[in-house]
Order: sequence, then structure tokens, then C-alpha cells
Amino acid sequence: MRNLVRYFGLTFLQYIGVVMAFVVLVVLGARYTPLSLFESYTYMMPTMGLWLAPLTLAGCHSTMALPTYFGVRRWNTFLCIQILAVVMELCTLALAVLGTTLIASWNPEYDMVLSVGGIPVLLAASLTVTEMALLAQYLPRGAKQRTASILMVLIMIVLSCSITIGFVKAIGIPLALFPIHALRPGWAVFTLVCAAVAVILGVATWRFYRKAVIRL
Amino acid sequence: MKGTLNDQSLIYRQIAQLLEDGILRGEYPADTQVPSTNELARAFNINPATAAKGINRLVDEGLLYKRRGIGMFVAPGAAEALRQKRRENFAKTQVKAFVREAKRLGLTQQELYSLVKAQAQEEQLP
Amino acid sequence: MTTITKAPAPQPLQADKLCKNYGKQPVLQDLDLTFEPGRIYGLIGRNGAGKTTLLGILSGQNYATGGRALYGGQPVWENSAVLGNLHFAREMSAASELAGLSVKNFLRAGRLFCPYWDQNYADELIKKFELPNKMINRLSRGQMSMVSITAALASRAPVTLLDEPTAGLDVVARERFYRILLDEYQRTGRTFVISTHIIEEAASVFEKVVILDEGKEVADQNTEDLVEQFRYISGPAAELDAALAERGITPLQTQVLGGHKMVAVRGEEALFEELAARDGLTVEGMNLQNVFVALCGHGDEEG
Repeated sequence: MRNLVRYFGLTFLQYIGVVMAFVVLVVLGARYTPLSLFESYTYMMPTMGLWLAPLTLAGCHSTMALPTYFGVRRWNTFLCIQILAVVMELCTLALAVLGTTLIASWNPEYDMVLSVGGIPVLLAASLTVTEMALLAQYLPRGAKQRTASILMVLIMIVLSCSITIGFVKAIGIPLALFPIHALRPGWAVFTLVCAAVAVILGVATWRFYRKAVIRL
Repeated sequence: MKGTLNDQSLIYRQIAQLLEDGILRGEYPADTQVPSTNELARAFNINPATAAKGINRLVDEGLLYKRRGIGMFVAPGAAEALRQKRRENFAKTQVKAFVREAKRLGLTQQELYSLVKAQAQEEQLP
Repeated sequence: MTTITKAPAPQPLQADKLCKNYGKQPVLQDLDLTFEPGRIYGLIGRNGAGKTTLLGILSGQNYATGGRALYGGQPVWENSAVLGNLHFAREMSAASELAGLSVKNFLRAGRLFCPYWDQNYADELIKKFELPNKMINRLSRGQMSMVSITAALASRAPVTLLDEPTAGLDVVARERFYRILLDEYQRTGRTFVISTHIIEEAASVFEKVVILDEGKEVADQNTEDLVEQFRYISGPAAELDAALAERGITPLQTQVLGGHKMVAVRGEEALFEELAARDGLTVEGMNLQNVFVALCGHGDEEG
């Protein structure tokens, strides 16, 4: 188990480094420059983990294949990557909470604050995308292409949404979406659905990965 | 270095043959050491077990003996024993094949003897 | 930080009534085999005979549809205690999932996960093979083979399985590989199971040979003992047929040229001596490649 942690640790550190750098830059920017310049970036903070984490995990082609090739038990590898996904996302969200709260404290009109209550919502959403990315690695060829494309589309939607919301905010149209909070009925349902889908996809990934032959 | 081994007969036999030739030629006098299994394996790029089989064959025939921790040595009288063995083999295989070939070519006994005599004289057999 | 853990002695690797189907297609059928510890095995068979599948299942890289793979009596599948003792070096291609890695990162993972990894040996091999630190899918086929070999050898796994390690290697590189393999074998006494198509060249390296044909085991014995059981018998067709009929022998392979016939026959020393004694017949030995073709060529008749 320990070597798996070291193996994934590098990926994790690189990722969290990028996220921290981004958050620090945006926060500093929001502090020392007029908010308008950095506005769109600040809006990206809460939703960043939704696409960056899955992309990172799916990006190393051999994430799960490599330990398996070298004789690591598949269940250990799978478990480790699941834990990694959750940890990555939680860290990202924690930083987002910190970042947005700080920005709000300096700019009272900024109201896209991510509260701690919003964490479960985004965590569930992010895990859904992550599981899809992992599943895409292990589906049989034909299905693989389709899932990969669905994934790409999803990520693009998320990206554009985050920027759109910011844009809409900028124009001043109030959106009932915010604040994101797990206890608000709409978001609660969303969270549960995402969580359920994530679990189903996760189980599917395990079943395919377990029986996979590292392809030549 | 595999070049000296061929695929016409089993490798371990060729190894045994090689060592026997060496003993007969006087390269390995009595009570001197012959190449070890590992040395042979390395020299010919073969499995050490195969090399060992070749050596063991000579041990079984009493041509080599083992000194624990040191290696395989030529037994006294090995050269003579080999010569004897090869003489018997000579009659059984080579002479037989030679005469058969002569038969195929339609030579008479007289013709055969003259050929052999001529060659023996040329080679200066005593 | 890097302590080289000395690898334990190898234990028997066993296929226990192993079955494998890909969909409806049976690839391995009720296979019972044991690879004894500390020997170099050759695994030969035609394309599609199931060699790669067998090696994959034995090392936990593939799962069996029926039966199981055992190492030292313990099941291999998903068994952490056992998996560290096995290594399966696959034939890598540019389409492999692992091909996006650089050579260094690939080997670094080996160092991380293989319990008996020897980095000094790995460095030595990289130098010997002159491997550049490029992406694996940018390497030539021969270089890919060498990366695979390097990982297999440096893993110091007590039982190491190699699938067509010499694919893409030229003759000089192949000879170098056999030499390196034998050196390592002499040093450590690891078990090696090597599947290959280049049979005769490798025959002298294999102490034992296993032949697979259509998912079933057709031979499993000492290489030279196996080869000893086969001969080519040739002579005038009529006489040859008579001699074979007399002893109730069915030839494995037949080749006819005019009135002359040559057959491949399996039998005992005594039989061959008898046949050789007959005037018209010639008895010649076969090498491993000949034996393989005779056993797995399914009586292809020529002439």
C-alpha cells in the first residue's frame, strides 16, 4: 500500500501545487486589483475541481495499469485511486472555500462564496466525472470511444457553465443557483443523484478493471 | 561462441564429445581439471544443466572424477579407456557405414581393401 | 532508503485444470502443468495456441475462466503475498496502455512496486542495451523488447515469465539476450519461462520445454529427452511403408519425393536401432524445431 501512496503521491502533489498556485494568484489579484479583472477566474474556483481532478487522473494513461503490470493487487490500486480522487477534490474545495471567503471579505459585493455546506454537492459531482473518466479507461473499445466523448462533452459543459455563471453574474441577473448548499432541496437532490451515479460508475469501473488484461 | 555446437546431435553429447576429444588429444592429462559446468555454459551460451549432463556422462563412464568444492578432474587411464571405447565404436558405426557405402557403390571386397591400403600407406599407418 | 531485499528461492508455479475462454472461444482447455523451480523453460506453440494467455493467467495479469493458477500451492489471483514473486514481461507495442510512459518512468514504477528490484542491475542493463530515455511508443520494436526485458530481469522476481522477449531483436541482440539471461540464471537460479517462435536458436538455453497446441499441453519434459524420441526415417517408399506397418507405427509427418519417402516418427531408441539396421532405410535425428513442427503441424503432407 505504501508504494501506491508514493506512486500517486507525486500526481497529487503536482495537482495540488497547480490548484494552490491558481487560488493564490486569484486571491492576490482580487485583493490588489479591481475585482472586475479577476472576476471570471474567481467564479472558476468552486467548480475547478469538477474538471481538473478527473482530467489529471485520467491523463496519466497508465494510472491503474502500471501498478497492475508490476504485480500490485488490483483491489489495492483501485481503492487507492478512489481515496486519491476524494482527497484531491476535498483539498480543492477547501482551497476554494478559503479563497472565495477571503475575496468576499474584501469585496462585499462578491457573492459567489463557496460555503462548507456546498462541499458535498461539488464533491459528488466531481466524483461522478472522475468515475466516468476511470471507467473510460477500461471499457471495451467501442464503448470506450463513446464514453470518452461523453466525458469530453461533460467537461466542456462544466467549463462553459462556470464561465457563463460568472458572466451572467457580471451582468447582474440574479441566479437562484447560488449559494450552493447541500441542504437546499434542489442541490440536495442533485447531490444524491450524483453520489448514486458515482457509486454505480465506480462499481462498473471495478468490475471492468478487475477483469481487464493490460492490453498489448 | 555457439558456432562450434551444431543442431545435428544433442548438445550434451556434443559437450561430452568435446571433452573426450580434449582428453584424447592430451589437452587434459590425467588428474588435471576440465572446464566446469558454468564455464562450459558460458562459453557456448547453453543451459548449465545441459553442460552438466555432458560432464556427468563422462563421470558415469569413469573418465572424470569429482573433487568436492574444486571441480571435475580427468581420471587416470581415461585417455586409454577412451581410445578403447572409440575403437569399438569405430568398428560398429564408421566401418559399418563405410562398407555399406562401398556396397552401394558396387565395390568388391578386393577393391575395397586396395582403397583402404592405399590410404593407410599415404597416412603412414605403422 | 533503497535496501535490496534478497529474493527468496523460487517455488513451483502450477496451472491447475486451467480453462480460459474468450467469449465462446476456448483458448486453454483443462491445462495441468507445473513449472519446477529454478529451471529455464521454453514455452513453444503456434500462434493462437494460448502461450500468452497461459503466461498472463499464471502471473495474475489475466484471470482464468476455470481452474486456477497456483504458486507454491497458493492461488495467484489478487494475492499480494504471491504476486511479488512473479513477473510477466509482455510484448510491448505502441498501442499498449503503458506506451505513453518514458523508459525512466516505467522502470521507476518497477523500482517502486517490485519487492526485489535491483536498480544497479537495471542501470547496467540500460547501458548494455543502449536504451534512450524516450517515450516507449517512440522506440523501435527491438528497443521496446529490451525495455520489457530490463524490467523483467531487474525485478529479480523468483519466477519470471517472458513472452516473445526476442521479438524485434536482430541476431546479435538475441545472442546478447541469451548470454545475459544465462548469466543471471547462473547467478540467482531464478525460474524463467520463455515463449518464443525462434525455436532452434533458443533450444540450447531451455532445460525443459513445454509445447502447447490449441490450448492443450502436448509435451512437458527435458528438451533433449524430448528430442531424443524423434527421428526422421527415409528410404524407398515401399520399403518404408512396409517397415512402419510391420511395427504398427503412424508417422507424424510425411514427405514424398518421387519413389522416395521421408517420415517423422516418435519412438524408443531400440526401435530406431532396428530401423537403422535395415539396409534401405536411413535414420536421422531431429532438432527441437523439427520436433515441434512434427507435433504441431498436424500431419501436413507434402509432395
